[in-house]
Amino acid sequence: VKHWLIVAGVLVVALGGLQWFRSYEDSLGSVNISLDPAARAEIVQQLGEDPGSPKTVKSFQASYHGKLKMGNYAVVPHAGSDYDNSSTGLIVGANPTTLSIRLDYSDAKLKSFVSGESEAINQAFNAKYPAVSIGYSLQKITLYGRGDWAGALVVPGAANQDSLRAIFQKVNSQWKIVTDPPVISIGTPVYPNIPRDIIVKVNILN
Amino acid sequence: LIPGAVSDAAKKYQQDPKIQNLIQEYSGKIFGSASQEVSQKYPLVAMLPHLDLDFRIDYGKGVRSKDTVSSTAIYIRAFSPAARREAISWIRQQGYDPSDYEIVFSNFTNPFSSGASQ
Repeated sequence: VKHWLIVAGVLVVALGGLQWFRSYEDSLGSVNISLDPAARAEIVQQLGEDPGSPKTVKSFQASYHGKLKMGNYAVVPHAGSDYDNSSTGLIVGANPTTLSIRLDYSDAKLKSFVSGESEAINQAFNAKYPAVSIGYSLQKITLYGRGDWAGALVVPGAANQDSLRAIFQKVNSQWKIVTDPPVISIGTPVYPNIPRDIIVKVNILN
Repeated sequence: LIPGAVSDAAKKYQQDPKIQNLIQEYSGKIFGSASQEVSQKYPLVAMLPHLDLDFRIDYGKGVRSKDTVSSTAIYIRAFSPAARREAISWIRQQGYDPSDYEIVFSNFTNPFSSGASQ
């Protein structure tokens, strides 16, 4: 009888453990994150209403493939001062989550490129609109991303005309206007291939 | 739903600014009642039409939008650059980002539309 009791006890514990393991496995979601090869990052857990002390769950370099408990996280890059180290939200659910993070350059680094790129951007603009561009000039040229996107105000020389906005992209070392024609307000439904955050920033250039 | 002009006389009639405005308004009404998806994707439309002293904002079918499911544009009628800026500011004041919409300025001829080289 004693032996049977021990066997029954072990079975109960084993079944309980198995049940716990299954429910634990069910609470995990598969995550794949890719980052720049040289960059490090941390995955931090968003602690609900209290953002004061986020808990670091994982640290990794270049990429992370694994399982995390379902919930809300943020990926915080540590790539040095040349990069924009803003965090990216990560929601882990029942379906596998894939996140590809391309770090933009920092504002300071982008600003340092502007003077070297302005002439080429102006040339691309003047070549595209030879007849009209004489009466307009590009102002507030600003670089985005990794210096491969640019936005500018298209400002008329004459009074009482509208200032327009334009976005340029550098492909194969050549600048090209991608919002053709320049407009008063650039819309994401018209240009779904331009990152929304760039359109938003160019629309508030002033 | 709105018949296209075929004859020269009809085309001329439709080019009349008053008729254009009527067509635009009517399109917006038909379009608005037809699509609940539009108001979910483009919530600004729930506040339209909006009339101000210097501008009017309506909505209707997109012109250059790549949104194939619920193509929508915001139509702003304003007669000066300052009024057009005011209209954009009004959209921001309602809590919406103009970047999320195709905005068509009815009384504005874009000088760059015909000035591009190939």
